[in-house]
This record gives sequence, structure tokens and C-alpha cells, in this order.
Amino acid sequence: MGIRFTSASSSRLGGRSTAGKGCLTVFFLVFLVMGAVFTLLILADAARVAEVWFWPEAECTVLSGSVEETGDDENPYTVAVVFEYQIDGRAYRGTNLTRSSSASSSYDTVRRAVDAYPPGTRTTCRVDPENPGEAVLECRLPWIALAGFLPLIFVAVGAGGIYGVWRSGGRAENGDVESISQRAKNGRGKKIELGIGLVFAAVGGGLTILLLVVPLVRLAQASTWVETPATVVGSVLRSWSTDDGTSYQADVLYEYSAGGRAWTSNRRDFFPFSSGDADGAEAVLARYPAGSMTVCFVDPADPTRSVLDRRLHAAYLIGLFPLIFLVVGAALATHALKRPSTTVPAAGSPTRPTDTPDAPGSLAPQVGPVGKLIGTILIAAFWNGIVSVFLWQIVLSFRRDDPEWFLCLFMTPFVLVGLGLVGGVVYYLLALANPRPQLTISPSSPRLGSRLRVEWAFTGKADRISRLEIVLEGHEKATYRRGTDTQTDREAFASFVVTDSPASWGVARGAGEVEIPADTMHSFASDHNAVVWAIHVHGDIPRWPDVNETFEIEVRPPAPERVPA
Amino acid sequence: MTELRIEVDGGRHWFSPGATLSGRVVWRLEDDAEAIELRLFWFTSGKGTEDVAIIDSVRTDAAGRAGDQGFTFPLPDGPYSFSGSLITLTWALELVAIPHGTTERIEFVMAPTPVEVRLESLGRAPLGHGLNFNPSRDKR
Repeated sequence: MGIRFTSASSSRLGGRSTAGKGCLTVFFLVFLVMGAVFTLLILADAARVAEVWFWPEAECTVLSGSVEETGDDENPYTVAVVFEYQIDGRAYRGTNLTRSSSASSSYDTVRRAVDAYPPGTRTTCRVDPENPGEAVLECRLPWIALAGFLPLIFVAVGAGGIYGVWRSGGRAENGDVESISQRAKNGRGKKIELGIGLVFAAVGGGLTILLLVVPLVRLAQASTWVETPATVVGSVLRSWSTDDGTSYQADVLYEYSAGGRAWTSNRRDFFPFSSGDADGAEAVLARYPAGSMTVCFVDPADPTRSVLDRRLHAAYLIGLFPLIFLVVGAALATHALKRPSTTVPAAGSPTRPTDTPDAPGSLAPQVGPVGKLIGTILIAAFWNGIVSVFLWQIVLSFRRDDPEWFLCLFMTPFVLVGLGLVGGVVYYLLALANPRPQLTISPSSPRLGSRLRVEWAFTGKADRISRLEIVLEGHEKATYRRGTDTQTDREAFASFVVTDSPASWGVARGAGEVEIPADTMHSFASDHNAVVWAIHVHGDIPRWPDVNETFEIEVRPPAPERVPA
Repeated sequence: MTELRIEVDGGRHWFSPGATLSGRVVWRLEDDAEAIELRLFWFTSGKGTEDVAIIDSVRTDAAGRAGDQGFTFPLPDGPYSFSGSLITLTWALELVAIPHGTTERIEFVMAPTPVEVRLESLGRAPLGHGLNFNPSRDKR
């Protein structure tokens, strides 16, 4: 290619057309409006709950309280309370515990609320100043307002999208030159990655505590609870519609005696989810038919707390899933913090800056054998975990003698990939026993046009290697978006053999040199593009996973005095 | 009539790393400009998502409708202008009138030689040779 000195008025012209902008605006407007509507609905509900805090107080007397059934299978129990109060000399009766619903799927929760207000209790209630006939016993914090953050994401996407479509900064119109420098990010990508990583980690951490830590702690606590005879007084299959179909819950109501009085509860275990599987729920009901005698486990320190089943069963493992979000989020945040900014890159944009670039230095592999194993295990667990949900449906269909053949066919390639991943785990597990190369290079950051000396030594049984190849390779690395996926392409542009030795030459330790041409490209890294230099070590081991390690190095531009003026 | 012009001393279009880039910018606009900014930067093109990095800039506030201004930028050691199968990295100067956004740009080569580094021309010729236990061998 020849010399370029161009006025770029003919390249990179124009932005989006007005029609294109209009379509994108409508697209993002839908996000904005839907998000805003849902946010307002949630905030209105929260305001309704919070409003009670500003109602005046009045003396009241509780007349009665009990647990009642709602007729709604999702939240079948509610508080039925009656209290009396006077406003301006006139007596009123209230029946609301709170302004929001007090219905719950947990009998214990509702019973505790009822027990807090035994008949005859004198307390205070809050009365609506505009309608004295409406009063509540308790003020609640409007926690539902937190749910408003979810639709706010849609609002942010919609508003941000519209801003991005119409912002004029640097965009060309009418055939003028479009500014490229205006698109410099000033580290914004790094902040976005850090933000997404922290949100993932926070959500993953929160869900891990909720779905894994809390149930396991409760199981551990229940291991010391006292075994107590119980009678099953109700055994009902609850079902309700959800976005994903129908959910089922085996609602087993049981009575037991502890601390000198009788108690009722429906806590079967500490598993936090209802089941989507009617057969599983039916099986539980069959174990606990109404009227049958069984045993429950009661907390000796608090007889209101009991559970029917304190065993650790496989369903609790679902709490491991949020760990993936936690790990991915932490990895993203760590990557963002370590990532070099592209705003003002250091000379040559070093990929592996070292303090003493001209001195010899030892190298660490890009990803060690343990890292490869852990990475493969995580991917295999994630993939097979999702696939197993569908596999279980297939197993159930065979058990019902009604096989879902289409699902079988559809899932076959996914299962094969899952098996391949399991094979990958085995492969990297075996590779842990491989001899491991240790590399020392001199200088630790060579310059273009200089010689690079590579010394290697293997720990472990290097005599198992039948052939050793060490290659210095330079490659381009380009990351780009395709649809919703982020892809990275690599293209090698230089490859220099340091050694290619059969075992008969002895491979346990040795050294080699290569000359890096002066007319090639030094190491370079920006957000999405890089020129990477790396030393690949490949050792053939017959009938066993090969040694494959990659060590990235930094290749610097020539020293300034060697560059032609 | 709007005119933005970047004039590089000596009409040079190639600069070695670490050299000094100097010249003059001229602007004639239809409306007053709040400022005129000259930016030294590089950008990537090709298969990867575009990266842009501003290395230095000179801003002239209250630039008015017309004027001229000299500039001098010391160039860094890298990255070189290069072109490969996936990535092309280009150095450029851009003159931007603020706030209208009217822009003029010139591109130049920053590399040890007057042409950008061509990665695909390097091939895979082995240059290595062994020492000690591994005698010199050229393969491939």
C-alpha cells in the first residue's frame, strides 16, 4: 500500500437516515413507555402502603383473630382480625391488618401475625382521615418500591437509546466529514463493564445467600430440633398459573404439641421453591395423607418453629446456580479493573508491562491447567444444568408412559454437546498429571529487530513427551458484536520456531533463539483490537492429553535511537 | 462558505515514532465558533469494533468566524500505523468546530518506514534455531 495523506471527506460519510432514526426512536420509545408505565404502577402501590404512616393513630381493642383460607392456591392463608375503635364518639370496626395483602403460602407467617393480636388486646390502629371506616393495625414499609428498579432498566434503555440516536455530537449531515475522534470513549466501556460485573455479582451473591446459604443454615439448625409426633390435618395439591406454565405445591398442614400447647404448621422443608411438577407434589401428598400420623421436628427454643422433612435432598442444589452469576460478575469486574484504558495509551500499548523489560524474566501461562479444568467444569455445569431440566421432563414423560419424542429429538444435539463438555472435563483432569513447562525469556520484553532467547525446563515426567514444539507467534485479535453475541477472531501473521525436537534429543530442558523482524508490529492492545505476541509450547504425549500452554509476551517498538529520523 | 484546513509543515505525510508533527490550521465559518479543537488520534477499522484514542489536542476558545493557529505535537513511540487481515490502525489529525461539529480530517502514517506495517506480508517463515540440547534446525 502506498502513502496516504487524505482529506477524509469522502469516507465515513453520513449518519443514520432520518427514517432509520425514526424507526429506532419508535423501538426505544416502546421500551421507555412500557418501563415508565410499570414503574408508575409499582410506585403507586408503594405510595398506597406508605400513606398509612401519615394517618392519625386511634386507640382500639382486638375482638377476634384467626387464620383463614383465601381460596387462592398461591397464597392460601390470610389473617382474619376484627378490632374496634372510636372516632368522634362513633364506634367503628376494622378488619385489615395492613393496607397491603397479608395473604401468604406460609401458615406459620400468618399464624404469627394472628398470635401478635390475641382477643382483648388494647393497641393503636391507624385511621384514614378521609374515610374513618378504613383502619389498619400495622404500618408496613413499602418494600414493593424496590421492584420498581426492574422496569427502570427499560426506562434507562429507552431513554439512552433515543439519546444515542439523536445526539448530534460529531455526526455528519449533508455529506460533511463525520468526526471519528468524537467517538473516543474516555474509559466509558471500562466503567460499563465494571458496572455490569458488579450488578451481576451483587444479584448472584444475593440470590446465593437467599437460595443456598439460608436453606443450608436452616437445615443445619434443624438437625438439633426435637422429633415430635404430629397429625396431618390437611393434605392439598395447590396449583396456580405462572408465566412459565402451572406451579404446583403440596400443602401439608399438620398439628403437633410443644411447650404445653398445640400448634399448626405447613412448613414441609426449607426448599424455597414450589414445584412445576405435579407428579412430585402428588408423591408428597401420598406420603402425608390427611388424618395420618407422622413426626415433625420442633425447635426446643421456639416451639412455633417446626419442619416435617429436615433431610438434604438434591433439589437444594438449585441454589448453586446463582453462584455462576456471582463468578461471572466477579470475573467481569476484575477484567474491567485490570483492563488498560485506551484514552491515552502508553507508548506501544504494552500488554504485559514489566519493571525491567531488558532483563531476563520468567513467564506464567495465560491459563494454567487448573484454570482450564475449572473453566471447563463451570461451563459443563452450566450447560448440563440447563439441559438436565429438559432431560428430567423427558424422563418423567417416559415414566408416565407418554414419551415426548419431539423433545427427545430436539434435545439430542444439546445432550451431545453436554457429553462433549463432560469429556472436556475428563481431558483436562488427566492433563493435570502432565509435565509442566517453565519458560524464561531474555529480554523479558524484546524489541522489534532484536533476538529473543527462550529457555525452558519441565517439571514432572518430561520423558513422556515424544515431541516438543515451541513457537513464537504474532497474531491479530479482533472482538466484535454479531447480533447479541460477542465474538473474537484471531489471525496469525508471524510464526517463528524456537524448537521442534523429537524425544530422542531430550526435551526436559533446553534453550533456543529467534530473531524478531524489525518490519513487523509490536504488541498493541485496545478495547476491541490487539496485536498479541505469544510463545506456544506443545508437547505430544502418546495416548494422553498433550501439553498445550500459551505464554503471552510483550514485544516493544525499537529503542528510539534506532528509529530512522 | 465554510472552510476548515489542516496544513502540515513541509506537506509531510509520514512521521517516524517519536518525531514532531507541526503545522497550522485555518478556519472560515458561516457562524461564530465557540471553540476550534485540533485532535491528534488513532483509530482502528476492520473486523473488530472500532477503537478510538485521542493522544493530544489543542483547543482555541472564542475562535470566532475565521482565524488560523499553529500547532506542534510530539508523537509517541507507538502504536504504529499497520494493516492486517483483521485490523487496520490509522493515525489522523481532526479539526472540529464547536459546537456545530463541522470537521476536517487528514490521515498520515506513523511508522519506522514511509508505509504502514503490513502484517499479512510476513508469512510463516521459521527463523528459529535451537541451542544446547537442540541443534539449529529450520523447518516448515
